[in-house]
Parts: sequence; structure tokens; C-alpha cells
Amino acid sequence: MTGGRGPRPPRPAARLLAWIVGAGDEGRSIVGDAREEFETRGHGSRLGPTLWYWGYVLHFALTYRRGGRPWRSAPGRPGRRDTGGRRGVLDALRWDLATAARSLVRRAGLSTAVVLTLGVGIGATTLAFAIVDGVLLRPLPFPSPEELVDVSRVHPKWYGPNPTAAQAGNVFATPAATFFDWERMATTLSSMGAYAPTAATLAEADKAPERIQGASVTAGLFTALGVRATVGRHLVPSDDQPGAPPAVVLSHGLWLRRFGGDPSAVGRSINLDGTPVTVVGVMPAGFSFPDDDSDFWLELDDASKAEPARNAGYLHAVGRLAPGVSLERARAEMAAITDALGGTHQDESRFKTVLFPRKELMVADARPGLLLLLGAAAIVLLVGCANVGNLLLARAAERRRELAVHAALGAGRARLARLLLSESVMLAVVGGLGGIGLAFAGIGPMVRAFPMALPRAAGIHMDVRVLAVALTASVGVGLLLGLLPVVRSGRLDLNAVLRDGGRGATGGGRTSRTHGLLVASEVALAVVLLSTSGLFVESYLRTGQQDRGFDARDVLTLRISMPDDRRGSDDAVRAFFAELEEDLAAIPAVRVVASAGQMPYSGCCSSPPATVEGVEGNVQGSVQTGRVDESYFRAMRIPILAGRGFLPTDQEGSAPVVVVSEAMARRFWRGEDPIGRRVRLDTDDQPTWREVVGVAGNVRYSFGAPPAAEYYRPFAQDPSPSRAIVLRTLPGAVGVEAAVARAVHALEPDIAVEVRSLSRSMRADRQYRWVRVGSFVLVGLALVATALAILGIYSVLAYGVLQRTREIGIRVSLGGSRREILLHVLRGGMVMTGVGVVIGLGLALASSGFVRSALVGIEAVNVLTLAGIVLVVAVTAVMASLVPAWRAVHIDPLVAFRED
Amino acid sequence: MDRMTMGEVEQWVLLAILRLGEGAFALDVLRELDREAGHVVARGSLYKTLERLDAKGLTSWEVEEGSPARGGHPRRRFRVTEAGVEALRESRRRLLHLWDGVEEVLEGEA
Repeated sequence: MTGGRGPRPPRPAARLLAWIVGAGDEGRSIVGDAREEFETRGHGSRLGPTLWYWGYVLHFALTYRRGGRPWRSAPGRPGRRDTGGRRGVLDALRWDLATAARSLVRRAGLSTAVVLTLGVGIGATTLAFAIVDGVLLRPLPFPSPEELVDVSRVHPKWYGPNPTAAQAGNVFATPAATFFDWERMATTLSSMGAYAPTAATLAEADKAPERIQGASVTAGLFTALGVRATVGRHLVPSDDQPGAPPAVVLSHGLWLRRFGGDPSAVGRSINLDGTPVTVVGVMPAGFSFPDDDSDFWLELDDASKAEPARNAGYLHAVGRLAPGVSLERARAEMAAITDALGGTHQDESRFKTVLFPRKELMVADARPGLLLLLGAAAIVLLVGCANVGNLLLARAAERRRELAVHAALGAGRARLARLLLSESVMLAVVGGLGGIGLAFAGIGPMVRAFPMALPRAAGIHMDVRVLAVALTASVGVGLLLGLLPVVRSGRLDLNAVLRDGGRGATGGGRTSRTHGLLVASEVALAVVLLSTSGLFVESYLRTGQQDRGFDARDVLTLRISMPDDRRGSDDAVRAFFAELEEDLAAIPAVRVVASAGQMPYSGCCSSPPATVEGVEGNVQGSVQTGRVDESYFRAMRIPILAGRGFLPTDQEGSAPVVVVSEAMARRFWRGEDPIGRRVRLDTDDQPTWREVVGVAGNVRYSFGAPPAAEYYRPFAQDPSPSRAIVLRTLPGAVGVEAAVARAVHALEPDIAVEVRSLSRSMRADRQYRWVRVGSFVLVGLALVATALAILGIYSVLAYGVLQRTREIGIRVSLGGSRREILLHVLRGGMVMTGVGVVIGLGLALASSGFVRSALVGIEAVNVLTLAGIVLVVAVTAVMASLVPAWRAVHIDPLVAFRED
Repeated sequence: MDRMTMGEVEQWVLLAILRLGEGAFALDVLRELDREAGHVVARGSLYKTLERLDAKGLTSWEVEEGSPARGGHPRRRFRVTEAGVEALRESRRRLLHLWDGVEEVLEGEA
């Protein structure tokens, strides 16, 4: 033996050993003995002695207390060990944990089943909670976020007298004139800002042009949000003044990406959509508003600021409550301001102004879905808990004799309870740690799976907060599960157990009722989850099969914004697009070239104030409109049902015309001929009547949306410098994208070209992704819950048969029919299933209203789906019952008796 | 002490300590049992047994300083107390009493 120059025992193992044996002379001498033995294992390889030491410590942990008298306060010389105070508590805890660990290791199979079950449940719940926390619970990343409110102007006609936050959040309808009046008059809001999401092409001399997302904003926005630029300055009130040079603030990401983080970028002039604007500042890293991918904030242009119209707008306003002002007071003041404005401006009097906390408004859309997700995960955890509860209960019954012996040796009820509780808590915590691991692994793919459907997705993380909740939940689950056997063991009659040797100590009818109740609730929860996921799948299938009204196959789209400096007159715009379309049509694989103002599945639609001849009042908000060219219907394969589509002869000077959708025709002229009717767009400089010349087939603009009531206007009579180009190509054509980019750049190098397939845009649709991902996740969770419930049925029956082997043996030997026994076991399974299914159906019906609020295209619970679910659950339950029933039938009476 | 009963392992350990003479260290006891009784006792059980014997007053121990090979940890030299010797004596007496009259049967079976 040499002095400590050789390898040392693995530190964690040595610590574990020291922990087990304690710090006194006895303990230290034991550690020393182990060290001495370790030294004699030789110095050749490191691995051998290390493994040996680990084995030593683990074996030691298992054998050290066996045969001792653990229930007595620690043995030892009188007065040598102090078992009171902190030391005593620590000793007791250490003992509890070590005993629990040994007991769990001895029943490795059961422990593994419990850990896996709880791991899946806790993992799913943790993951769902992390998402809910990031989106719904965490405060917005601004100073004093609770003071931020959204101010929306809504039309009571479309949203009713009390619009919800979700409705208000989707309104971008405040005119600049109205907003500036609000900003000037409001005293309950310390600052206000307005914005409209926008996109622009960033072009620089030596780099490829890039399409970037951002917002047109007023200067007050930055003060309202409480953020400052990290380089340069943010927009200030002087930027709002008419005639101020156009200014833009860049995101930190864009600054790094395009300008290499060069501070001299501030003050430089950059080219956005062909207009030179001055960079005045860069926002700090992590700031993004209103969307996660916003890269620039451009001062609202002069023309928009000076726009006097108050009947329609496109801004959305945010404000910050002044110190000490309640939301209610601010609401009252904004209502008063709206009344006052209504007195001087006829158009204002028709609207209502509503205020909501900013966060509530941002997440209102996602809330039902996320809560549903969390609920579903929690249900899986509950079903898992019921299963584990059953297992532990059964095990506690088996251990009655062991516990009775402990009790006879002086263990009080509290001590027994502590033993059982520390076992279940240990199982739950180990399961919980596994679950947290699962959640860590799953959160990335999960968030990526529905980025479009989640607001604030960038804020979703597994962090200390989530971990703390997960661990607390694990311990809570452990305590809950431990309580069940504890309550049972408390009722234990020691003498009776010891007398009959623990045989047949099943706890009688009460325990089996508890088992049955637990399994029935598992079945009920599984049925709830199955029917919920059934609704999702139904929504997915139904809306997926809906006729969208156009043919998306082989259609490519790209957005072209003509550079400002080339816009000039309407004629210049027309000429530019005519030339572009001609060049694109020359690409061999392209069959039809068309253009549209707004494409289906790429944002929504505009609904400016308009008048339909013979219809009372304004139709803003109920009818949408879009601009298309004469090839659009052909390119999209939208049928013309009556009259005609647009023709090359529909020109600037010719009679103004529109084509209406079938839904619009039906709304206003049901049963009459719509051709020849007239529509007037009230935002025109000189509103003129436009004649309906045709009826086109209905189109749905997003997943699950109703067919749009809309009227199309020809670009020729209503030019726009920003259009979506639609290309119908030959089936399976490749390389078209590159050819398109070449054609565009040949004409105008400063345009960013992003060619997308229409089918892909549709798949990226928010509602579509939500229903799709939701269906997958929910079906998965429902199947796990169902499998656990079926496993529960099986294990309870199998356990019952095992416990009653003797009784069944007696019955058989007394001539009881095997058929009777079979039916008896099967009946047990069916009763549990039946009770569970009935309760589950009730719960499913009660909760279906909430589920439908998160879905589209679902009007009522589908009876067929429910019937199918009941059938599947019943059949699998029978199958699960057959195995124990078969075993019961084949019990040999001789063997059954011999077991005594 | 006459109502004091001892387990098998407890007796083995006491005997091993006595056999080792002038006090014994735990590892020596382990080796002695392995060599002379052909019995490998788990370390955990051995220490537990030593603790129990100590609690019953059948053994006593003193601490000696540990060598570097023990990482500086102390070691304990165990001795059988007078009570321990008495307990062994009593145990042997009872066993011999029980053996009386059955030896022949066992011999015959062998």
C-alpha cells in the first residue's frame, strides 16, 4: 500500500458512502476501510477499481441497514448520538430516503413502470406549461408592462356593443387624424403611439435586395413602450411634424446582418422601396414589435399623416396608463373623447373606442388553444397518477405484513407514513426529472411545429421558473400518490394481519372499490381526451376538404413593390407591370401570368367603406374588395358563374366595372340577377358607381374562413404599385423561381424577389397549422391516456384474480362453473369501463363548447365520433379483461391450496 | 444477559474478533470469516452487526489514527468485552445442550 499517490475513489461514490454512514468516528472508519480496500485493488487500470468502488458503495447502501432495528431512535452508545434537533431530523430524513431507495430498487419492475408513467405525464405537462408560461403568463418584455393598453376603434355593427379582446386585436382601423386627436386629448394615458405592420424592400448598391418586415409608426410609440435606442436615437415628436425628413429605426438583428454592427450606419441614408430614408437609431437586441420578425420602424409618411378622412383607417394604437390611473378611468376618458370627436366629425360618431391590456389582446386568440393543450397534458398526468396510485395501493396491500412488523417493532403511524410518502415522492421526483428531460428535448420541435400559430413564440423557454413548477408538481404528485396507501395503512389492524400471515389481506371491498374508482376515472378522462382530439381531427379533415374556390396546384406567387422613384404616374405603373408580365409570360414553363392586390392565404383583406346600390348604410367590414387583372380568374381557376370576367377593354376611360363573388351576390341580391347592379367605393376621390358585370365563384381567404363576400376591381381602372404576381406553371416545372428572379431583376434590379408556391403558403396558414399540430398532439396524448386506462383495467383485474386465487380455487373445487368465473371477472372490467365511459361522455359534452372555441368548422359534437370512441374503448377494455379472466378460469384448485 | 439472544452472524463476528487476539480491525474480521468460516459477509451487514454488538455492550472499540492509504480516515480496533465472552459462553452452553441426544441421528444420516 502506498501513500495516497495512486488513484482516488470516485468522489461522488465516496460522498454517498460518507452520507450513508455519517460523520462520526464509526462512519469515518468505515469510509477509511473502503478506501483501504480500494487501494489494494491495484493501480493498473483506473476503470476496474472505480467500478469496484461504485459497486461496493451501492451494495453497501443496500445491505447496511438490513436486519437492523431502524424504528428505534438510532442505536448507539447511550449519550453518544444525539437524535434530537436538526441532526435527528437529518438522520431521520436520510434514513427515510435510504430505506425508500432500497425498497424501490428491490421492486425494480414496478418502480420502472411508475417512473415511466409519471415521466410521460410530467413531461407533457411541463412542456405545455412552458408554452403557456411563455405566451400567456410571462409579462411583456417592456418596462411596467401592466401599464400598456391597446386602443382600438371598432364599429359596433360588426362586433356588437362589447367586442372581445380577440376581436379588437385584429382591428387595424384607426385613421391617422383620429389617432393624433386621441394623442392630443388623452390625459389618462401618459403617452400613445400608433403603428401599422408593413414590409419593404431594402436595396443597397452592393448587396442583393432583401424584403424585410417592419412597421410604420408614430414617434410616440417608443415612449409608450418605454424603450430607447441602443445606438443613435428613437423617433421623437419632431419626426411626426409634416415635412420632417423620413426617418427609420433599425432592429439590432438587421443592423448586425446588413451593416455589420457598424455604429456609423446611424445617419446613413438607406433605400426602402425606392425611397431614401435616414437611419436615426438602432434598437437594443431582443426588441421586436409588433411581430417577432419586425426589423424596422419607419416614421409614418407625410401623406398618411395629413390624411383627413375619418371613416376608415389602418393604424392600431397603444398607450401607457398615466401613473395611478386605472384601466376603467382610461376607458371612461377615451369614451368621452370619442363622443366629443363625434360631435365635430360625423364619421367618428359611428364608432366605439375600446381599451384592453396589451398582453390580453396579443394572446387572446391563442389562449383557448393553449389552455386546451395544457388541460390535455394534465389529463394524461392525471390518468398516469390514477394508474400509479393503483399500483402503489396494491403494493401497500402486499406489504401489510412488512408494515405490521415495522409497527410491532415500534414504528409509529407517522413513521410508517413517512416511509410510504418518501417512497412515492422519490418515484415521482425521478419520473419528474425524466419528464423535464423529455420537455427539454421536445420544446424546440414543438415551438417550430407551430411558429405561425403562436404569438410571442420567441419568449418560450425552459427556464428556472418552469423547472421549479415541474419539480414542485412532481413532489406534489408524489405526496398525493403516497397519501392513498398511507390512509389505507392507517386503518390497518396489526393483530389481524399478523395472525393470518398477511394472506388474503386485500383490504376487502373498500380497497377494491378504490381501485375500481381510480380506473373508472382513468377511463372517463381518456374518453374526454379522445372526444376532444376527435373534434380536432374532424375540424382538420373538414376544413381541409373544404372547397377553397381556387386551384392552388402549380401556382407560384411573388410580391412586387414597384420602387417609389419609378412610380410617377398611374401610366408608369401600368406600363411597368405590363412589361413585367410580358417578360414573365416568356418563361417557357409559365402558362398564365396574372396579378392581384391580395392573395388568399397571405394576410387578410381590405374592407373600406362602400355603398351597395339599394342597400341602406355603409357596408364597410362586411364586404371586402380586391384588385385583380383580367387573367386572374383564369390563373387561379376561379369559375365565372354569370356574366363575364374582366376584359382588356376594361380600361381607365371605360365604364367602371366590378365582378362580385357568389357570396356577395347572394347576400344582397338573393334570387335576383346581380348583373347590372352597382357598387360605390367611398374612399375614391370622386366616388363613382361601378357596374357589376359578372359573378365569380366563392373563394376562402384562409383556412376555415367562410366564403368571402367580395367585389373585384380591375387593376386597369384602379392601379396599384404593389401587386402579387400569380404564375400558373406547367405541372412539375422546375427552376421557374430562378427564371422569375432573372426576369424581374433584368427589369428592375432593386426589387427583392421571393417566389412562393401557393400550396406552401396555404400549409403555413395559422389556423391550418394549429388544427394540424393540435390534432397530432392531442391524438397522441389521447392514445397515451387510453393505453394507460386500459393498462389500469388490466392490472386491477389481474391483481384481483391473484389476490383471490384461493377463493376461486375453492369455488372451482366446490363445482362452480368456469363460465361463471369468466363472466364474473369480465363483469368487473365492464363495470369500471361503463362507469368511466358514462362520466367521460358527460364531461366531454360539457367541455365541448370550450373546445369548439379553439376550432373552426365545427358546429356540434359528432354523435358518430362519440359512438366510435365508446366502441373502441369498450372493445379494448374487453380485450384487456380477457387475459385475467382466462387466468382465473384456469386456476388449479390444488395449486391454489398448496400456496398456503 | 441470559435473556440476550444473538444472531448467527453476531456470534461469528465475536468469534472472529476473539480469534484475532489483541483486538481486530473490521477488514481483518472480514478476512478471518472468509478464510476460517468460508463465509463472505456483506460489508454493510458486517458494520451493521458491529454496531449492534456495540449497542448490546458485547464489543467495544477504540480509534486509531489512519494511514495515508486510508485517506487519513481513522480505523477502529474492536475487542470483545467481558459481557461478550459471557454471551458466547452462554450461547455455546445452550447449543451443546440442544445437541445432546441428536448427535447420533445426525451421524447416522451422514
